[in-house]
Amino acid sequence: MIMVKVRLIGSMAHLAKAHEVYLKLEEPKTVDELLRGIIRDYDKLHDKIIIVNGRPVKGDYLIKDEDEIKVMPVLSGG
Amino acid sequence: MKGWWGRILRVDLTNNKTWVQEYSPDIAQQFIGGRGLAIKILWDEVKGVDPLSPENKLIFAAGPFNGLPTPSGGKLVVAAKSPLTNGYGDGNLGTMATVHLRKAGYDAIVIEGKAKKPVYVYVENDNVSILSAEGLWGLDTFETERKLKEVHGKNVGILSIGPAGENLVKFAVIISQEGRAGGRPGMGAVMGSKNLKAVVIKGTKEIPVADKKKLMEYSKEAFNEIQEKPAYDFWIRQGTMAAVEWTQENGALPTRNFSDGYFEFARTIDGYTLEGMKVDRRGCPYCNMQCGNVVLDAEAQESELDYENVALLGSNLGIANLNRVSVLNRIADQMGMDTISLGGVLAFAMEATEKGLLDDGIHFGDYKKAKELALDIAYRRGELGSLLAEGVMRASQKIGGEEFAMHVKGLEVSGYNCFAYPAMALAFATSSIGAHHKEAWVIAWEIGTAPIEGEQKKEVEYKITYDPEKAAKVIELQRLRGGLFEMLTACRLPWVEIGLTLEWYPKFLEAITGVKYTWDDLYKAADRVYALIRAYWVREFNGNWDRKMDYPPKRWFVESLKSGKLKGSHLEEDKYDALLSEYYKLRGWDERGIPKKETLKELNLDYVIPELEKVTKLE
Repeated sequence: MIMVKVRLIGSMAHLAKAHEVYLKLEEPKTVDELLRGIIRDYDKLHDKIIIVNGRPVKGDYLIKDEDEIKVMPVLSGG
Repeated sequence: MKGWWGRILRVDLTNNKTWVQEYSPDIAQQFIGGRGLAIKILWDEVKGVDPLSPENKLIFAAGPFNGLPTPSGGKLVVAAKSPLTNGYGDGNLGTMATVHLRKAGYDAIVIEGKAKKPVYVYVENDNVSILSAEGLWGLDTFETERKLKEVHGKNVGILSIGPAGENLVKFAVIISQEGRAGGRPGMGAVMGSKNLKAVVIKGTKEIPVADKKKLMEYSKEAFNEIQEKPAYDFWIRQGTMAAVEWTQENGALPTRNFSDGYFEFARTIDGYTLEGMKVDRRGCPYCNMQCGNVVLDAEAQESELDYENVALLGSNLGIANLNRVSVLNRIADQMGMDTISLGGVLAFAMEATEKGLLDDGIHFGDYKKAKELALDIAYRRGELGSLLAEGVMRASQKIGGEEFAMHVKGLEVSGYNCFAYPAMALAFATSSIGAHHKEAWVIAWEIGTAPIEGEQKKEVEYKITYDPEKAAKVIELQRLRGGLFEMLTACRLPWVEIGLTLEWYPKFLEAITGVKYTWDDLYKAADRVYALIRAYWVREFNGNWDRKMDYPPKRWFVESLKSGKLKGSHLEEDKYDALLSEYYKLRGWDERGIPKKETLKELNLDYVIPELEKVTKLE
């Protein structure tokens, strides 16, 4: 069993309809696979920043037990 | 020519004279418009003058996208030699004035001289009048616009200054439509120095377009693409205000004069708080992602909020109440002052008071005094008001505190604290106008792995490093944001925020002008503009130029983040210096940051060489 916490920032929270999600995974998944199930239109997003335990990762990162995932949009600045 | 009129309206206020200057297709193609056209005119015509003298020229420059249905193409560049920095100054604002300017049959208006008494310029197609503004002088920008609409009707574009511009506040801006501001480095003061209160434009001509059918097709498709993107709905909810949560999350929210990147009360001024207060939404012409969120402020008046206003007038002043921040923001708009620089000078005064440099000063979080002081600055009332009206750089030279003076080249830093972000610091330091973020907002790329469209789809791991790749990334973004978008003249937000495909831009440009630009052509045009702007700075500084001009504020090297996950982070000077060298190398500039002869020649700027050689030796 893999337990993960996902924090969603800005538009990611809007698309997921949640700011924080706690999940139990029966089998290992990549972060892309996980987020696809949470964030509406995930594959249509032009850009995103994924941070796991404070480090940025790519979508093919394999989730481990007790990972803390944070997903943020890319903004333009003011 | 199609797409460009090839016509510039010239106004000489000293001699009460107006005329039309034609310019060549070659200039149009090389400089495209907006910022490109502005720097070409300044380089050719505004040399060694006092920025507040009649000899300075105030330029309103549109680009081929303006006045036509292009994605968020409702911007206008305002430019002049800056009284705040003494170098190149510009800014853009979204305004109906850009639509009317183009429909009146011009690509730009250049205003020189000084009127004997307050005037405004009224342009109706080919008819141009210089009219008395004596009844308008002293009014705020909202009231000025209302009065002018009573005279000229609602279907006009208006650009005006408030008391700050009239009183030559060094960071006075030009305002349109009660809250759209442009020209951070004192373009409003330049306008005030000419006794020019407003420009009113009404245009009814049809802009010549190379392929109208294609333009309409593209327009429909691109506007639909924007609305169908997943990020669209949230953008409509919060607009740029979403950045409060984002910068707070990343330790970059300017807090108490940039002494920290986390504000403990950020939640009270963020996009979610805004959502609860919003009463209206405003936007620029031809934009279907309007980002001007209007709220009722603590005095029950409308105020249009954006992230920059709130970061600089909220967390950076230690004020944790969005209603009150909105009052400060509205006062800045009415008075015609830049909200970023106003937040910068007030925060500087607050820290100077804390450190004992000001006796009767102002403390962090003191909203009431901040409000009074904002008005004192606009009217240059009292010793402190007059001091702060000069901006952070001059104030710190006078009373001390240079170690916490947050500016680059004299322009106050905008809303991103860079203790942990070397590339963003480089972007601020090498921006064309001083510490402004619009040209290379590289921080998101620096934080994440996600590639930004337009780069080579290369992925770089996150690290607080000085990887040479970062210099390349800053240049790439400067080419797009500070180059392409500022020349077109269009807003970058559909691309960055929503994900509108970049490939649309050369396609639109070709449909409008009939000229096919490759990405290499567009990058070269952007590099040309950057090199010419840099040459302008060097010439106006009489060759007294070195790489220290491209350094970020000292605070980011000698202090560190005080709280949050990145606590303790700060920039390292030797590593920053190496990154700067990489930047110069890629740009073809020498170790002082001056374009090399060979670079100038490659960019068809041969005529710059003999002029620059009068003030310095070129490599």
